[in-house]
Amino acid sequence: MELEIMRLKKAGRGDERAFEALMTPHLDTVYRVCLRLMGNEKDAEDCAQETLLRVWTSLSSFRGQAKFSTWVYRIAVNLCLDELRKRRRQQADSLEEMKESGFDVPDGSSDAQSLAEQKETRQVITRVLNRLSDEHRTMLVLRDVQGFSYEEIAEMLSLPLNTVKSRISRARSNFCKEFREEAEQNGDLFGQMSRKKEG
Amino acid sequence: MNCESIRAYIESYLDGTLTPLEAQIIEEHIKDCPECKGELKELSALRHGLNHLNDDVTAPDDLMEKAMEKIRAEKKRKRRKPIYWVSGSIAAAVCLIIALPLLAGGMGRSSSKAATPMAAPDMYSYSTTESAAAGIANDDDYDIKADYAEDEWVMEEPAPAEEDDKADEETADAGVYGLKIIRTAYIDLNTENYDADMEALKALVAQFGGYITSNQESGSEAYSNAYDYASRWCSLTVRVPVENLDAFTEQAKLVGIVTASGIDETDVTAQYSDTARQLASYQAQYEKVQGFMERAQTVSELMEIESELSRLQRTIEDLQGDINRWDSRINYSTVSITVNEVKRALSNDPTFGERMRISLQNGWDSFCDGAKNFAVNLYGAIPFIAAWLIGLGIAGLIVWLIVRRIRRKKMQ
Ligand SMILES: [Zn+2]
Repeated sequence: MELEIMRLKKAGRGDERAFEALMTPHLDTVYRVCLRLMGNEKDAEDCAQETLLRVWTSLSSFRGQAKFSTWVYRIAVNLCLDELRKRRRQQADSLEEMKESGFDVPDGSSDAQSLAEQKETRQVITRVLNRLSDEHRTMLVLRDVQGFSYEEIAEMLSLPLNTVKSRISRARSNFCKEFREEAEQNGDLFGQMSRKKEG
Repeated sequence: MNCESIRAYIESYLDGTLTPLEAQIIEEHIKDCPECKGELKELSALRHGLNHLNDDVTAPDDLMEKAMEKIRAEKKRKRRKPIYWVSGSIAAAVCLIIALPLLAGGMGRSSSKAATPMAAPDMYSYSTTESAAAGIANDDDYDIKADYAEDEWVMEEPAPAEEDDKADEETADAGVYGLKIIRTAYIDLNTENYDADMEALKALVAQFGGYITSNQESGSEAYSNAYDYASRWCSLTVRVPVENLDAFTEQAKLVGIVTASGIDETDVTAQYSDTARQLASYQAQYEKVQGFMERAQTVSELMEIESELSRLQRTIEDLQGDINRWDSRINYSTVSITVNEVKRALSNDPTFGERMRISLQNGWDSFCDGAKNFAVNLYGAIPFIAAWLIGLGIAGLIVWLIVRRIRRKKMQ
């Protein structure tokens, strides 16, 4: 922690090696958050790199009001959500264009056919996560996947604590509902998971 | 308790945020209710799945490397602009160096000489400011005041300059370090007895515990005696303990006839306190970082700490130097004394008669001086006047000869 403070100061003055030392403990978490929010490795890598760049350029504006790690993850989350929002807009535009030009746009359910092959529970969870709204996915990734406290999440998202709690609760029930739909099409997923857990 | 209300608590049960009694109620219900048991099992399996979703995920090995590439590219991009500025200012400086001597040619050599050293430092200082303005490599410690001394560390922003707060702040400053005021004085004296008065002044400096830092005299006694209008002049800079300043200046003013004098006070309380606080903060940082030393685990960490320590040491020395200079200027007042030798010094409160008499004497003196000067100058100029007259005579002779020859030709 004290080393972190010293490295922060040095990095703030442009010391690249101090910056590397400062960020190394947080790389995995940054990448994991990006991966679960973006849904694929390529985008996760881009966003993780962008996060590091953003951290570097805004080091001087970090005032120590939050834990440094929380501040970094906040940057990562915001970056991913911005990126997703941007893509959604582009997607919506191109979808409109395609519909206008008379294309038959397939809906998400056609992917369900390949589900039979994805026996691995993690893959299913990932799929279900990716299908959730950004808001709900963010909540689950931060709380249940990464295990941040409610307070940390409130800090990262600039939301009141109670809002965070109620959103997480809604996200969980939504996730559960979506998962059951998958399970119905894909046999006894819960059974698999429970067995795994016990074993 | 019915199943619906039990299920409302299942999430909290999984979070482990229920009281033991509440948890017990849930557990007992579940024993007898396979549906709720199933629900709990499902939810806990899901939670477990989510919790361990990222177990095997690690960041790509080259993540840091690639990010650093981006960062360096960003740095370069930001610096490119200043480079134009620097090269532009160098070009301007070169033009100036070339142009100035040409422009100043008519004013003599000394001014064209001055152009080069003046332009060069300007140029350098410009380029350093620009690289600092690029932001990233800003090494200015006075801007970022990190406070290791406190547990919750903060990078302070410069204090907002609100007028009302400022007054309070200054009083607060004065409370901690006392009022810090630099007092300086100047005295201009005219004297008829130059040597005696200079001795008297020097004796006074010693008497009040001061010392002379510089003593520039111009003119000499011999010169002064040889020419009535020439006089001696001395610029004396002395330092006296601030508590003796008033007494010293009072005494010094009695030595000659005062033509100008005054005491200046500069309040440096705010700057002084600011520097003193920074110094204290850096000293605390130094001790704190020294404490990291014992906990360093690798050689590179140790080296990192040592380089930080030496950097802090340099800053502390600089700040201490500033404090020492201020202390010296506050504790010892600088007095600038100018002594002019005059033939007749007017007292501070001359009567009408005295002024008439001195005016008459000065008038006669300047008439005599003028007459003497004229005679001396005339004597000095005789060879040149003679040469000039001879030249004029020769030219006249030539012209007369030519004119006479032309006339004769016309007559024939
Ligand atoms: Zn029940």
